[in-house]
Amino acid sequence: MNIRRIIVASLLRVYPARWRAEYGAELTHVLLSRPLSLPVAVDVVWSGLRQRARTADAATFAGLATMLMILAGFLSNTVLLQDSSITLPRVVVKPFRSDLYAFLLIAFGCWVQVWRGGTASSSGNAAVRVSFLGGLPIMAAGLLALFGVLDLSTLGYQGGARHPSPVSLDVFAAPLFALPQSFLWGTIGGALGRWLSPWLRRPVLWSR
Amino acid sequence: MARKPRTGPASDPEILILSSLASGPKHGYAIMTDVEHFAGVSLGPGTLYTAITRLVEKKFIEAQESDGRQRPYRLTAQGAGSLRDLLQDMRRVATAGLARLRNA
Repeated sequence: MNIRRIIVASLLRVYPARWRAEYGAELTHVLLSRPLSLPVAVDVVWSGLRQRARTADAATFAGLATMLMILAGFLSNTVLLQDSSITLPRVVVKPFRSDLYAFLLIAFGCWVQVWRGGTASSSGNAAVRVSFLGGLPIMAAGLLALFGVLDLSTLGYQGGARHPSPVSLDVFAAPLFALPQSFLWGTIGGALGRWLSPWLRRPVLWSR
Repeated sequence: MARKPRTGPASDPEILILSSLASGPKHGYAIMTDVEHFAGVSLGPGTLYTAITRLVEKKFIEAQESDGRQRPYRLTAQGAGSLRDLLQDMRRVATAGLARLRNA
């Protein structure tokens, strides 16, 4: 396999597997038939990302949103508060313990059921996906702390006082232990959605 | 030499692909070269196949059986109707706009 084929194969990896199975051979043929310039590569990568965004389900988007929220919480609790002269309101991130998180997963499970249908447990599975994606930064932080790259005591940094460090392994494992609970909340939301769906299901207005 | 993509409805990839297929079935590479020839717009391969995917999903075009690596696509009746409506709308706007420019 020559270098050009390797580059084209790498570019196509950006697309979802199902899309590649349908159109991959054709796009490969077109890419091998024309000069492979930087703008062409950018166009292919950008289109691949758009294709991924189009085919991603609601759980992936909600999970990524949760992940961003948790990362913002990390940032506000660590980097920004390192300088004790900065007095920002403290953002407490306890996503797997708070009642709000459980409520959000129930609401998400309900939404999935009303808009997408399926069984109540499919809402539970969607909630697990949200919870897993949202927990990735926490797992990463636990892993980094385990190898001594990150000092987790800064997570509780407030007004110059350090709080006791959480155990790194606990931080790493906490999101995984929260998954069965997430399934439960999502399934409860799904059951609620099944009950509410006759009143809440939206009409299809247009297909574009 | 093909120009860079412009903005506006005349450079919309979906309209360009439908217009290209109005003259008969073509595979992806043939659509790209045809669009460059008749519209002067260079569609990137990624943009082309993103638009083809959308048009297939809308049932405006469909892939034909082929032994080779490139499947030809053909315009469906629904796609032809949609293209006709779009082009008539564009012609109405273009005619009115050009007439007003002449009087300006």
